[in-house]
Amino acid sequence: MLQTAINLNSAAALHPAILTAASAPSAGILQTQQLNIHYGLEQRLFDINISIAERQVTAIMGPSGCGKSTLLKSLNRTLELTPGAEVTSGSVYFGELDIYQSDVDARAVRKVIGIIHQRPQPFPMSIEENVLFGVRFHQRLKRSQRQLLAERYLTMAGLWDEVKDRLHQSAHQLSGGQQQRLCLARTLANQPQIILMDEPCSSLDPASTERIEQLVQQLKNDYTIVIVTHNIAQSRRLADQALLMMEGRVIENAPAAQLFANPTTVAGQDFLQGRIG
Amino acid sequence: MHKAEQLLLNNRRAVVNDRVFWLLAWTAGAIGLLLPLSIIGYLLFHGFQVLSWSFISEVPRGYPLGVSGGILPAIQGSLAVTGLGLAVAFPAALASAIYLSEYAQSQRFVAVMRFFTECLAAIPAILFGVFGYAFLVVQFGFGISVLSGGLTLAMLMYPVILVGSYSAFNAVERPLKESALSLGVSRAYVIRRTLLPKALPGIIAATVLAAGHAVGSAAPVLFTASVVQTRSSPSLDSPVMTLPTHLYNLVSEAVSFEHAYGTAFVLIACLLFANSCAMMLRHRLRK
Repeated sequence: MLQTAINLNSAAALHPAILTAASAPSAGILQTQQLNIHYGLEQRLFDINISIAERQVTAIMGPSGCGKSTLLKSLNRTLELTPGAEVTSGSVYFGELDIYQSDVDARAVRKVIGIIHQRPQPFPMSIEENVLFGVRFHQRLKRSQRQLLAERYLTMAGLWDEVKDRLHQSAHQLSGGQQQRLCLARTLANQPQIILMDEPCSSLDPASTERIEQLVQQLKNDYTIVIVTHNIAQSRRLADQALLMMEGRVIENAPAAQLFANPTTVAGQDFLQGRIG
Repeated sequence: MHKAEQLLLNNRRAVVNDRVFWLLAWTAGAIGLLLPLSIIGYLLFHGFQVLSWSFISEVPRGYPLGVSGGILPAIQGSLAVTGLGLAVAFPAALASAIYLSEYAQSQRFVAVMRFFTECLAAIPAILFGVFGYAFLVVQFGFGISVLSGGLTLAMLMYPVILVGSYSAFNAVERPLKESALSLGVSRAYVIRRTLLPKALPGIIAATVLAAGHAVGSAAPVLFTASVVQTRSSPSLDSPVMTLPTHLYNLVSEAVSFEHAYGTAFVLIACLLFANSCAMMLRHRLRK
């Protein structure tokens, strides 16, 4: 019952094409075509053509400043929240729908393709309210549904047991690792199909990092995950598909096992052996 | 002694420098503390005889008016004009601040608006008084009334609340806004649920500052709202007594210095009370 109520309000209702897009069995659920991005006058990404496979973990690796976060944010239209950043040509297809088409609602895109940022940003409200932040915008919730939903998504994010006794306390008192899982919970609560992660572990300690990695392994059964990382070991552990970027271009793009065994470019070999990055 | 060991000894100049700065810092701090305390102490000392419950609960009496009795109509009048001014200025300034910090696209437009707002904040209070008289009292025919005085004070408070609130909104970290917007929600929803709670302490501080400034200024209400004596309680279309203008009359007409000191003390006590309330509110919000 609860499930149907939520589905009615999902992104499909906001743009009819999204529904067909999501169910169309194509090469990848998310594809870019000749994507070029500028920050002001400076070009950051050059002719990006990638394809993200459904229900797999795709890792985007590369040294700092190579444009991996820019690429990630362009995949769910959160890039345009950065002043000056602009997709100057090319397209990003979600199924068969170009998300940069003029009649697409950016908010609906962000709901279906969620993103976790590098630094967790808990909102100034209770833990439960944090989880329901997006949901409560997208639909009316009865009081009785709130705790149910909060419990479901906190459980999925592996945080329920740690916070079940203090749902109504401020989210700021959680540790960094807990805050990051809270951000995951509130993204999951939006019922996305794809989850983008922008170096989600870079501000966390090893134990919290391991926790997040376990969650990624579990979530890939139901979600498509794209994770940006500069940590080679992490992408080895997590990725099914791996991309390597240098100076705004994708230089390696292959199944992870293949890429790590046989990088095809010199720069790729150098990066994987730690000589650059 | 080796050179390395000499490095470990006290550097005389550094020690003296430290002492001098310590002294300067403490002096500056002490002035900041002593100035308000001595003003309050001075007013209390001189106005002490007249302070009583009846002083704040009775109307002025005697001839010339004010040598005895209380200042109740002035307190009511001040609250009325400031309250009306706040009711107009606060929503207007908050809306402008939200527009400038969250919606305005052109940075040049924001800079121009900020420049004019800061100019507005720097205009002397008496000019607002004259402007209010010419436009509200005469041109619009509102007469000398709570309405004219309240609107004049609103003009005085608007830029102060605007600048403070704008800074408070701008101080909210951009990643927080970005995280909130990434959840596919509208800008208005983000403002209402995350930015406003974060900026509220700053908004309250600016509002209290503006209101304190307004309640204590005689110049804006002198020509627009105040008279020497009223008996009825304040209404929109009638003139009122206010604390600063009553104080001005008591002193300039040499009516009663004790009552003047008492009035001044009540005025300051009101400001202290408002400031303490704002501080407590901010403290509670921060938790």
